[in-house]
Amino acid sequence: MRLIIMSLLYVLVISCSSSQTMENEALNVIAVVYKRIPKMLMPPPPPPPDSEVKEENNINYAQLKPLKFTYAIYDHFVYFNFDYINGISNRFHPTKSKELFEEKALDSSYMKLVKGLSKYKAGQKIDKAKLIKSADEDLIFWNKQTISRQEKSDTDISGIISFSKVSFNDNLTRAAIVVGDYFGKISGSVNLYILEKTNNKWEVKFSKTLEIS
Amino acid sequence: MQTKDSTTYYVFEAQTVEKWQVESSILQDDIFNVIAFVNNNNEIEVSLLKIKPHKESPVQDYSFFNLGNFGGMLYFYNLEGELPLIAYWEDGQMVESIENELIPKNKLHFSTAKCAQKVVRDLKLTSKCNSLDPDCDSNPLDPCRGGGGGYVPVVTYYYTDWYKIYSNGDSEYTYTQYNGSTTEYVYVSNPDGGDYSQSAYSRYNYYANGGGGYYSSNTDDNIKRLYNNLTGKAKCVYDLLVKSGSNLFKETVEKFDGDAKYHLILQNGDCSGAASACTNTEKISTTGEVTITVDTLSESILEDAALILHEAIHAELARYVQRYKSGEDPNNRARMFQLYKYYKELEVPEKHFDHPYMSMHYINPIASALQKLDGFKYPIDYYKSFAWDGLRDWDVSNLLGLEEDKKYSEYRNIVNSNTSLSCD
Repeated sequence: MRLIIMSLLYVLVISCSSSQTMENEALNVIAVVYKRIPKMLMPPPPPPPDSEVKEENNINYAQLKPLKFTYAIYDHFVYFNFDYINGISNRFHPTKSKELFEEKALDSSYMKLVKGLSKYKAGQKIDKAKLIKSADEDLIFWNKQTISRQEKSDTDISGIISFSKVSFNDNLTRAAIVVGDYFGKISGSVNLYILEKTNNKWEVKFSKTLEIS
Repeated sequence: MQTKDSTTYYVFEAQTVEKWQVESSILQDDIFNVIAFVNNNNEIEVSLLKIKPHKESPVQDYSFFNLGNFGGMLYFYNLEGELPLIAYWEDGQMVESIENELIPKNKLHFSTAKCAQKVVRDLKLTSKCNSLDPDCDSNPLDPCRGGGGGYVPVVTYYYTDWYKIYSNGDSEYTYTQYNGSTTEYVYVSNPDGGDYSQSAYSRYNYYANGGGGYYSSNTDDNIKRLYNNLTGKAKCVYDLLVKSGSNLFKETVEKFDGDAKYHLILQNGDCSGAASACTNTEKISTTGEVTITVDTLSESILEDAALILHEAIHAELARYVQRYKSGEDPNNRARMFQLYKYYKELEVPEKHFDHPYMSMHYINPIASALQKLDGFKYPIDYYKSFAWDGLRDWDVSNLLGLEEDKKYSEYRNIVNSNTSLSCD
């Protein structure tokens, strides 16, 4: 009897530990993706001589200021309602590519990760303290996926970032996550990221835009 | 100039100005001739002849008057983009020809050359017009403007029907293989002026080159590529935009109509990212599909119209980029690609490439389209607040100051209160 109880306890501990590891890794993945989102957009260069468009105003490019973004993170995981998740094409942008618009066809092991995203249906709170620790920086959290113009003006928050649950491979070396950003009613996007863990660090390898508005 | 069948013909070489992917391995490159003659009514009648030699046909400069040893296809187009006559030749002799019964007899062979510029616009095809230049219509230096000539689209699809051949000579159809397509715009000189209608849809099937194959060609310059599944108020707003006929609407949504490789679907539905509308271009590189989903509308028709236009710009930019990636379109949007490259080098995610470009170059076109939709009730500045929707956070050129934004917001209220647009 004692042996059975000990065995059950062992299984329970291992199971909890595995779940805990996955949760920690999920927060590490989220932290890496969040830190990668630019918080500043530098001013554009002047147009080339053969520009197809006329400047709408006399812009003094030397005096333009960069745009700064202050993001808040929606404090729940989001299920991005993709009824087409199983039909998503396997062409992704390699994030390190120097080439504009380069696409790479990913094999079925990556697409299995993507399909794995559809199993997480329910929203669940993000462990804020752990995420702050993983990101190693102060984070702002928000209790909605959206923000109004008035709220933006009141809080100085530019946009809300939302994260899906993370889909992992069996040995937790590859991950897929969907990330949404919301700046306004017709300003935002939903992106799919594929990450890989090398030398104990998560790195975004591929991305794909699913929706833009 | 030469005489053939007691008629004097004038034959000119025609310039292929834009060539899309050539996927067929069956045929050599096309040769185009413009054929002109004076009919009994002393009118100049013109036809476009496409000469398409088979691979095994001797490589030489074939023309209407030089078809010795020619083997391949001859396509006779009228200048409305229709294909009234097609002929299959072997060893310099015509083996078979098929006339398109859908085209009236009086338009069978030749049609009078008319304003080629209007062809370009009617068919919603590419032109040298700067789509964002509001003066394009009236610019006397515009190369698209009248005179000179215009572009006739020539789209050819290739199929092979495969048959099993039995020893007793019987054959049995097995399957049809799609061999790809070619699309070319051929520049045709314009002797006079006039009007064009859109091209017809036609399909031909005829025996090709033995080997158990049947060969068919298909021109579909005008196949519908725009699927409007909007309902309710969204459909009403869309219909108002169609009716208003703004340049921006034509240069975005209507660009898809007539482009055989891409299609635009407009639908009501849910955007997964909580936005009021969204554009999905995820499948554009595989199926050519772009979907605009309208999720939530406001109480303002002008705001909703701005929402549709904003998404339509995303759709058109995606179509342009995909055409560029596929080698179908020359890189003639230097500013757009300059900004895309610049932000890529700064490691900005690709999903955010459109908005800075839009904030710099689409405020006036959107505001102008809304002003036209509203019947020019107010100056263009009154519509700029709607145009900035979705772009305020991406004002990389620092164009919209706080004071200006406030002033435009006040204008917006005035416009909303006094517009006569209605979807009730």
